[in-house]
Amino acid sequence: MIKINVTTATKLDKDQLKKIRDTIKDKYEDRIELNQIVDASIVGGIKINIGSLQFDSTVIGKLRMIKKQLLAATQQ
Amino acid sequence: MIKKKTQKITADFSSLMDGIKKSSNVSSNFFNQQLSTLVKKTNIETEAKSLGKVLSYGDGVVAVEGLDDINAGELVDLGNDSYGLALNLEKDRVGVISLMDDKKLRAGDYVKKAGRLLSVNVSDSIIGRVVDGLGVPMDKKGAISPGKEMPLEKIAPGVITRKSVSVPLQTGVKAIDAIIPIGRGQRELIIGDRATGKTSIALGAVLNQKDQDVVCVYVCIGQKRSSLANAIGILKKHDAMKYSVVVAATASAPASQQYLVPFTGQAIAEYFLEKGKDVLIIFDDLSKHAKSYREISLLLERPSGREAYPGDIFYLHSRLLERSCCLNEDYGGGSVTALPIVETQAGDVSAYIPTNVISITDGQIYLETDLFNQGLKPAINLGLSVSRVGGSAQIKAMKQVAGTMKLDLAQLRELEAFAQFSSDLDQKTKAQLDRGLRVRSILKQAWDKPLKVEEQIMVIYAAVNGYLDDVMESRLIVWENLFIKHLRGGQQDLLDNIRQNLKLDDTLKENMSEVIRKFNESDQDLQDNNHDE
Repeated sequence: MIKINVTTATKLDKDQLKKIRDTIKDKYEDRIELNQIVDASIVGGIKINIGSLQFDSTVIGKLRMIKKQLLAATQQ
Repeated sequence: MIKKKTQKITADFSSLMDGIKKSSNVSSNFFNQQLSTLVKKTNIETEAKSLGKVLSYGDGVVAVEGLDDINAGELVDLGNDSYGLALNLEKDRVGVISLMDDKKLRAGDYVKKAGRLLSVNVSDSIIGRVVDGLGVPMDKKGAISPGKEMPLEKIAPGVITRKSVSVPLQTGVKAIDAIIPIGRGQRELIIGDRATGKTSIALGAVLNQKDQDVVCVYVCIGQKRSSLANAIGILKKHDAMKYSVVVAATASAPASQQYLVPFTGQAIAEYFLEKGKDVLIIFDDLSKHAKSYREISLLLERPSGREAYPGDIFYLHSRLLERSCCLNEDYGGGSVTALPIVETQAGDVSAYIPTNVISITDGQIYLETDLFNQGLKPAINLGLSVSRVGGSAQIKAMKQVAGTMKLDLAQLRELEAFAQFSSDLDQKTKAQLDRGLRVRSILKQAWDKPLKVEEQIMVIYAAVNGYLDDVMESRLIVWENLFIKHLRGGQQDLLDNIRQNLKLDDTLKENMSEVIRKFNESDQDLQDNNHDE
């Protein structure tokens, strides 16, 4: 069984969760267990953890990426 | 924790925005535009990242749960600008060694795959610098300018790209250049007990590369900081830092850095190799390297073998030293010559690490405490030292004079044992013994006074042809010093001739004899007046 954590800033409704579940289910043959986490600190967007794999599409994650790349650009 | 970080980033960002506003108010929109182009250039596409959770952290070893798709030897981002190396891949956990002394890492923290292999930034400006085990400058002279990222672990150059050793690497030490010559691309082990002059020989070889277009890399593994400071001081004093790089992980550096530092040094050497240059790399020393790898392996709970070293300790050193090579012209024609150093305990060369490294290298220079105490410096045991490939790289003239010398030394060893039993020796034996003693004495040399190969040839020629038989043994050093001064002063033509002529022919030999005879006549007070007694 594969554990999946879905993190969002606001609570998702049933339809939205079902959409996510269906998208992931096609990719994996195993049974999946979907977990919803609400965390306002991500500001917006969505973060999905499948096992040790993470898809981070949150606002805070993007800001972090921008910060990292700007710092790298200034160091050169 | 995450909340705190978020607040920090938000704060950082708002201060950035304030800065933008201010600057746009004060002056033109230049800063604003620059920043927005930079921001626009950034890539913020969602990507799949492999995460892991720290289970435990101690003694520099991080046990991580997750990181399903990590490869062995891959870099792991431990956060806070610190990195680790994934060494052990097990079913439900990954063993990572921390490369920095990381004090912030806690159990439960998330770590991620860095997506690249361990590498070091090398450019031409690294020459003259002192860097640590990860290539970060230690000398407070600023960052190394961006050049090429050289991978630490790399497969050694293939058979097709190589050629056999043919150009000599002159160490400037008579005993080595004459009897155990080293060629460019060779790996020659320097082995001996503590305080027998191992590092001195290696540093002497570095000093002799002045104006030879050779880049020297001195790798310090697990040495005392005082020894390292000493070595750097010597290189600076003799103006050798202009063509040298020092890569150091001292005794206080984490074991992971001590384990990686020879690979960092090798990666730096390979940067210059790729440019077709000749490189001399010194690993000082590999016994400490083996110990640091043993420490890591034991902490990672790998099975231990002989002397508690892990099973792959041989492979560790062989894959490192195999990367020293001599490339053929199609591949740039560069070379990496390695002088690994191994310390023995009480002269025991049959211990695990010494035997391993002896079998990997192309020969060894064996230093002995007894010889050192007798004042025969460099304390090289010429019977046990060999150079398996260097002979073909020796210049012909040196080969000629060295051949006679080897014979004299072998006879001396035989006669010395014999002479201890009887005081009355016939004239011929006594003469032979005298000759042998003089030849051995002439090999004595201060490590920081390297001689050019033509000067060595002149001195050895004088000794083996009996021109020193009349000089007192105790005054040989004075004779040599004066003779070298004399040669450098007025006989530059002869020296040039020896260097350029591949072989010593009769006229050249006659010339050499003439110079030595004249010098001997002019300095009568060096002659042994009591020779007949």
